[in-house]
Parts: sequence; C-alpha cells; structure tokens
Amino acid sequence: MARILIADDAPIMRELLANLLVGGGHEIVAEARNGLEALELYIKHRPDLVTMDISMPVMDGIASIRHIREIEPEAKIIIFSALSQQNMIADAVRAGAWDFVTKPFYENRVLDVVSKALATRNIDAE
Amino acid sequence: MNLDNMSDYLGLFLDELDEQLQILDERLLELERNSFHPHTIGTIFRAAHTLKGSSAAMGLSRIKELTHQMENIFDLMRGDRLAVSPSLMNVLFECIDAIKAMKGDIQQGRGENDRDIGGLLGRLTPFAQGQGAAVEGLARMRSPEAGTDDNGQGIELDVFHSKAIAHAWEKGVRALRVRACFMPDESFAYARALVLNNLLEELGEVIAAYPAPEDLADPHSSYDCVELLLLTEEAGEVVGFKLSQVSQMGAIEVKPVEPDELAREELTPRAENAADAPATERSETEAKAARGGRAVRVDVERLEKLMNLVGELLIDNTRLHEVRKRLTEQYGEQPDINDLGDIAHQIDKVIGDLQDGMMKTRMLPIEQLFNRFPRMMRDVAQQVGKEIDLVMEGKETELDRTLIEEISDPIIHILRNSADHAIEPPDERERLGKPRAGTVLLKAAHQDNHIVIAVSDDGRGIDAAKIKAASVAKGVLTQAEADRMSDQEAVRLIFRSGISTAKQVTDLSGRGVGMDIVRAHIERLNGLVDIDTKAGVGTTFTIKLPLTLAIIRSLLVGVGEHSLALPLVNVVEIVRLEPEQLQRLQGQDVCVIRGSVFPLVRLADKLGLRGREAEAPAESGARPLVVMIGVAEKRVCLVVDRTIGNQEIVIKSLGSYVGQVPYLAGATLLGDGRIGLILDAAAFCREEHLAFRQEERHADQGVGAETEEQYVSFRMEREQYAIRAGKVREIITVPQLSTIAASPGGVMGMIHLRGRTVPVLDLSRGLGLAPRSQRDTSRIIVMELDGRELGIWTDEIGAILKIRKSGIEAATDVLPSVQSDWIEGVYHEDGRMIILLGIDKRPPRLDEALSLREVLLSY
Repeated sequence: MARILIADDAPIMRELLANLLVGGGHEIVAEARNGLEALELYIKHRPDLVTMDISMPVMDGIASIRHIREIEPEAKIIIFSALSQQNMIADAVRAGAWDFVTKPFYENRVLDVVSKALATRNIDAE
Repeated sequence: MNLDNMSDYLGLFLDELDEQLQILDERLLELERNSFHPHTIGTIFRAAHTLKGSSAAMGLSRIKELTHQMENIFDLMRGDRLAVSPSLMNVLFECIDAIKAMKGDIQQGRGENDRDIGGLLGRLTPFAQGQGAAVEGLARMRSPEAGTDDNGQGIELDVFHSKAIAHAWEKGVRALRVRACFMPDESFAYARALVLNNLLEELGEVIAAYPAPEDLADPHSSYDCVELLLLTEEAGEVVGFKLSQVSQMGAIEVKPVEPDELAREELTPRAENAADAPATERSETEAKAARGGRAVRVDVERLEKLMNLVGELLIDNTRLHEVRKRLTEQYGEQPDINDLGDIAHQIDKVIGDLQDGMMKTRMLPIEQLFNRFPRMMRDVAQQVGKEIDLVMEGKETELDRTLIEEISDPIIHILRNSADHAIEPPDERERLGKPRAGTVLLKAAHQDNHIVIAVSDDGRGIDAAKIKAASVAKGVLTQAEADRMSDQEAVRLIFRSGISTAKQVTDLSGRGVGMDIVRAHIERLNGLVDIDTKAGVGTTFTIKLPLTLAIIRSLLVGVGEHSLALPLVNVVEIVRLEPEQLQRLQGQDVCVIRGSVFPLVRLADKLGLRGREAEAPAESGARPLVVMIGVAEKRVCLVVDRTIGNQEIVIKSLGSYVGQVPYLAGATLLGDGRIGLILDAAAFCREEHLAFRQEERHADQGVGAETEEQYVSFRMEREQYAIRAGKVREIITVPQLSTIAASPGGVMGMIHLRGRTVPVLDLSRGLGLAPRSQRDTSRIIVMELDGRELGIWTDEIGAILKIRKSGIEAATDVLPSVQSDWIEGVYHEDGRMIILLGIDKRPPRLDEALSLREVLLSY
C-alpha cells in the first residue's frame, strides 16, 4: 500500500487512475490539476509516489518533476502520458522520473509499475 | 547541400568548429606530453567524430574528409593499435591548422575549396592503415563470456574501458556488464533505456552503453536489447533485482567483468598519481556537459541592445536622484519625499544588479583566449629551438567578450617576443645558471573595475643602453636626449613604431617586433601598458583594460561651467601642484611630479572653454589642480578647475551631425540632464607626445620625495574636516542608534554593527556646533583605533583626498586660538579650508567623562 499523489489536468484521467490505484489497495492523498499544484501538494503531503502527466497547463510535468526532485532527490515519480512523442517522455526521464507508462493504461501495467517502484523503495529503506 | 541555404546554421557550426578545434589542440598537446591517457584519446576521438558529422551536415566535404581520416587514426590510437609518434603528431597538428584555415576562408565567404588537402590526406593514410608506427595492441580484454554475444551486439571493450575497469578495481569498485532486453512491443525503447540508465547511475557509474540511448531515439532503430558497462560497489544480485523493478522489461542479465591483467600491470607503476585522474576528469567533463545543456546561445547584438537600454536606465536613474535631491532641498522631510527616496534607493539597487547581470552575460572566462597559447608557444619554441614552460594563472577571470578578441593580438605579440627574443637558448641559460627551460607566466586578474593581464618571462631582460644607442643611430633621438633619458623611459621606446620595427634594435635588444602594434591595440581599447624589466632577470608586461566597453566609469571634472568626463581607466592620479612644480620646457608647459616631467595641458585653453584658469592666468602662486591621464605607456597632466566625482556613463557618439571633434570621444547625459563631453584621453596623449620629447630630469629631490596621504573629508554644519583614510573601516548610513544613560560627553549613542556594539561620537560638541540631528546625508565613519571600533558622526561625506604633506599648514598659523594635538593642520582645496583631525593618532578616551571639547582641547 502506498500513499499516492495524482497529477493530471484531465478530470477523467484523474478519476480513472484513482479508481485503478485504489482498486490495487493504494491511497490517493491528493489530486493536482497541473504541475505547480503537484509541487505544492507534494510538499504538503510527501506522498510515496507521484503519477505525473506531461502536458499540463501552468507548469508542465517535466518542470514539476525537476522541482520536486530538487526538494526531494529520492522522490519516486512515474510518468503517465498519453503522449506518443518519445522525446517528451525521454526529457521527463532525464528530469528524474523513475519510470513511465504510456497509453493504453492497462490495469496490470499500472499496478505493476507502481508496485515495482515501491519495491525498490523498500530495498533502499533496508 | 548548398552553403547559402545553410547560412542560418553556419554561425552555429563555426562556433562548434571553434570549440572542437580548441579541444583537439589542447588534448593533442596533452597527448604529446603524457603520451597516453585513455580519457584524453576518448575526448579527441569524440571531437573529431563530432566535427566529421557536423561538417558533413553542412556539406563541407573537405573538412569532413579530413576529420573522417583523423577520426580513423584516433580510433586506432584508442584501441592501442597506433602509437603516438612525433611525426604523427606533426601531421595531426597540420591537419588542425588546415581546418582552421578553411574555417577562415568560410568566414570570409570563400568556401572551403581554396585549400588542397590531398597532401595531408596522403600523409595520414599510412598511419590510418596501421603502418607508420603501428604497434600490436594490448591484448583485448575479455570477460568470461563477453565474446559470445548473440547477433554480435554488445559493448566491444577496448583499452579505454579496460583501463577504467582496472582503475576502479584498485579502489575496490567492481565492473558489471548489464544486458537488458525490451519487451517485443516496446515502442519507447529510447525512454526505457534512459530509465535503465538513471537507475544504474544511482548505483554507480555507467562507462559504456551499446547502443547509446540516443541511437534508440531513431524510430527505425531495431535494437532489442541494450548493454551497459557499470562500475559499482553493489553486488551483482542487488543490481539485478533493482533492474527487474523497471516496468516493461524482458530478460535481464548481469555479469561481472574481471579487469584485464595487462591493463592492470600497465597501470601499477603510475597508479599512485594517476589513480584519481579519470574520475575527476570525467566528473569535470560531465559537469561541463551539464552546464552546456542549460546554456543558450544568444546573438551578441541582442546583448548589445539590452546593454544600451541598461545604459539609458542608468542615466534616468541618475536624473531621478537629482530630482529627489532638489525636492528634498525644496520641501524637506515630507512623507512622500521620503517614499520617493526609498523608491529611488531601491531602483538604484535593482539597476545596479541589472547592470552587473548584463555585464556577466557578456563576460566569458579568459580561458577561451588563453587556451590557444600553449599550442602557439609549443610551435614557436620548436621553431626557435628553445625550451619554454608556459604557465597560466587566472584562466577563470571573466571579461567582456568583445575585449577577448581585441586583446588577443597584443598578447600574442608579447608572448611571441618572449619566446623569440627574451628567453635565451637552453645552453646559454645553463651557462647563466638558469634552468634550461625558460618560464613565461601569463596571468590575468581583476582589479577593481579593470582587468590586468601580465606576461612575465625569466629571460634576458631589455637593455636600456642598447635601445638608446640604437635609437640614436636611427636618428630617433639625439645623443643629448638619450643621455637625459631614464632607463624606464628608454625601455618604453620600444613602443614607438620608428624604433620597434627597426631591425637593429630588435637584434640588439632582443625585443621590439610589433610592439607598436601592441601599443596601438591597447590604446584603442582605452587601456594602459607598462614594462618592467631587469637585465638578465626578465621582463614583465602589464596590460590594464576596462572590463567592458559599453559603460565606462568616469571621473567628472569641471572646467568653467562645463562638465567633462574622463574614463577612469585612464586616470592615473589627481594632484594639486605647487607653483614650483610648474615649468616650461622647450616652449611647452610641463609639470614635475615626483621627479618626472609630464606635458601639461590647460583644458580650458585647449578646448576653447572659458574656465577659471583662463580668467586668472596662472602666475606664480597659483596651485592648479591636475588630473594625470595615461594611455598605453604615455602620461599627460590636464589642468582642470575642479573634480566633481565618479560616475558611470554610457558613451553616445556625437553623431554625423557634429562629426569628429578633436579631443572628444563622445558625449553622455549627466544626472542633471545636461550633456557631458567625454574626453578622448588617447588624443591628448598622442598629440602631446608628438610635440614633447620626454626628458626626464631628476629635478628637485624635495618634490620627488613628496609623500601623499589619503584622507576622507566630511562636512559638519558648514565646515569641512578630514581624517586619515588608513584607519577608516567603512562608511555607513545611520542605523538605529541606542542612547545610553550616563554616557560620556560627546558620545551620541551606540550602534550595532554585525553583532558588535560601537560607540558613535558627535564631534560637533567639541567643535562648538549645535548637537547634530539626523539628515538624509548623515553618515557614520567607522574607524578602528587600537583594536576598538569607533563611529564618527558626520553631516555629509565628502571625498577621498590625496593630501601632500607639504600642502598642510600648521593649525597654529591658521587657528592660533586652538591649542590641540587633535587638529593636525589645515589644508586648502578649491579655496575651501579643510581641517585635518588626527583622531587616529590619539583616540578619545571614552571612559573619561569629559566633553569632547575637553578631550579635544585638553592640551
């Protein structure tokens, strides 16, 4: 079980992801509508994991990742992107994203990437 | 591809070409010195590779061919299949020169085809084919099963890797070969490879990857797996587990790699000093790359425009302050005016920061320039058969990018001269008891708002007598002039074109080629140049330049009702002359300062301004204020009515309307909105020296030995006072003042200064004035006396004065009623009387409950 922050500008995507993750036994601590909110909410809640969309208004996901990683270099952020442009995803990974998932967001893929990210966290803690 | 279509990119390409050529030059030199270092070769190889790619993209086939062949050779070196030999190095350096020449042609719009590279390619080929001085490589390193990669994909470990692995092994870090395969439906292999890379970088250092993640970015790439070579302290199992936590991955293999025995043996003898080198070097290059990734290339013109705007702001800001001052005088301390003051103060600060920031964006480390010199000195030394160590200091010193180009030639001239003439041949040096190799030290440093570049050598120095003799022989000087001339002046003759190009002088003095060009360049930049030489010991050239050309710090001087600006870089000193220092020589006005004779120019006459000086012509008894200016090695004294202060000004051209006006470099807007004329220091120096043969006379020793001291002047009510600057720590605006009960007389209160409590004295009581109250202009002078800090309250700070001892009149002559060892004397400036207080000589005793008057006048 992990405490997760969802960042996505599309309400439908937030809804979908939240359902999926809660179904997998995780807790959604907050939902952000853009990168800046994600940053603020990250600071407030210090979640175990962030799911981050790339193209969002105000502040995009890549900038948000960079800022969050400045505050917490160990922050685990997973890109959830509907983008088909690989370079954007690559930029996000360079900015410090842990892993990424692209559409279609199959339930097993989403839960797999989340549990794997958390598994390394546990190892690190030991 | 046609160059015209590419012109947008040409600038970028040429920049890159510059950078890469620089790297090649530097690293090849390194290679020549240290013969082999895997990182050096790696860097060289990548530079050639980059150039090959970009020149091909630009359609520059000759550069491409040349760099391609060079790349082949570096690849062989990298694999230890080709050894470094002098003949190979020379060909490679020639290749770089050829590319530089082609680059020059391209810049001038001629294209690359003027140069024939056939010969060079012909000489490279034997090396590339493994002839020349080819050697059998070190045995190829093999990990237990490394050679068995299916479908041939995977990292081919070369000497570069094997040495890195061996280095790591020495430090207990192990190497792992990681092979990770993607899922068959993976459409984001590039991003996936980066995820792997990120993860591995957390665990250690990835020293090789095949394919490189970037190669996966191509949608047509069809790699199923990636292979990475990792140096890590983690166990293979831990690495394997962590990798398995990356989503969407197929098979993952982790295998240890043993270091190659040969590479280890090779390493051992020099392991001590070399062990840390690769790591630091790598992290340096990485840091550079990271910085590069966040940098933006900006057109210089845009920066110029912004700089101009900042200049405008500066002018407006000065005006704002003038207006505020006038309003304060008119309406006094009203809330709105105080607000205006606050705002003006804030804007001041912001503009200051903005200006600094703008300056910094235009600044580049001088490294860019300096890095060209090792190669040049190597070539020159080789040509003339000398051994020279070039030592460079202050490479990180930053200066305006336009200046970097401009000072390149003068420095090259001076360096070449050092190598060519100053440094003796090795055998001669040995006979003289000097080390065989001469040292040339090139140093850059900031000094206030200027940059100082010094070139020193430990060669034979310049023989003044020989220069004199040669100058007389050339008819440049008469024997009588030569006899009168000091050695220092004689040495400066090398800056004169008539002499510097003269063969005889060059041969005899061992100096002088192109020194007039050096001078001309530095003059144009408004800089100064000086020589310090000692026969047999060496010579130092010192060049002083303004940091930037756009905004200049200037000294405002007044002549009559006019304000004139002199670039501060040209101002050598400000002196008030005694009547006996004014003389006439060969029908020309001169002045004698510390035993040297300088041309004297009365600005009012010269510029046709009716100044005070003109109204009351200097007769005996007048003590004119002069500003000594200097350009390159020349000095001239200008007579002015008064000095006004320092100001940052922006040069505006006088425009075609007015055209070229003698002695004026341009105009600027002053704070009060009036136009200030900027004097062209170079014009004065040029002209005065045409007419004036510097004839030094060691005149009156009394004047020569004259000492000056700096004083800080301040105002109390209507009187001007001054105290020696030596003990003054700082001058501050008035902070919160806490009064203390039962404080000794004269103590106004205490201030807190960085955690210390400092008493503040009000001299007014002692001076018979009404107690002070705070005004806008009030400042506290903080002095350190006998290890204690002490504040002196002032109504307004004046200026830093240079006061000559002989100019001080005894207090008893002027103020017979005052009997105090506090008042040291009285000094007259601009018709005002300044009372000099010797507070530092006898600090007030605070523990005594005496009024300051009592303290002051107790003797």
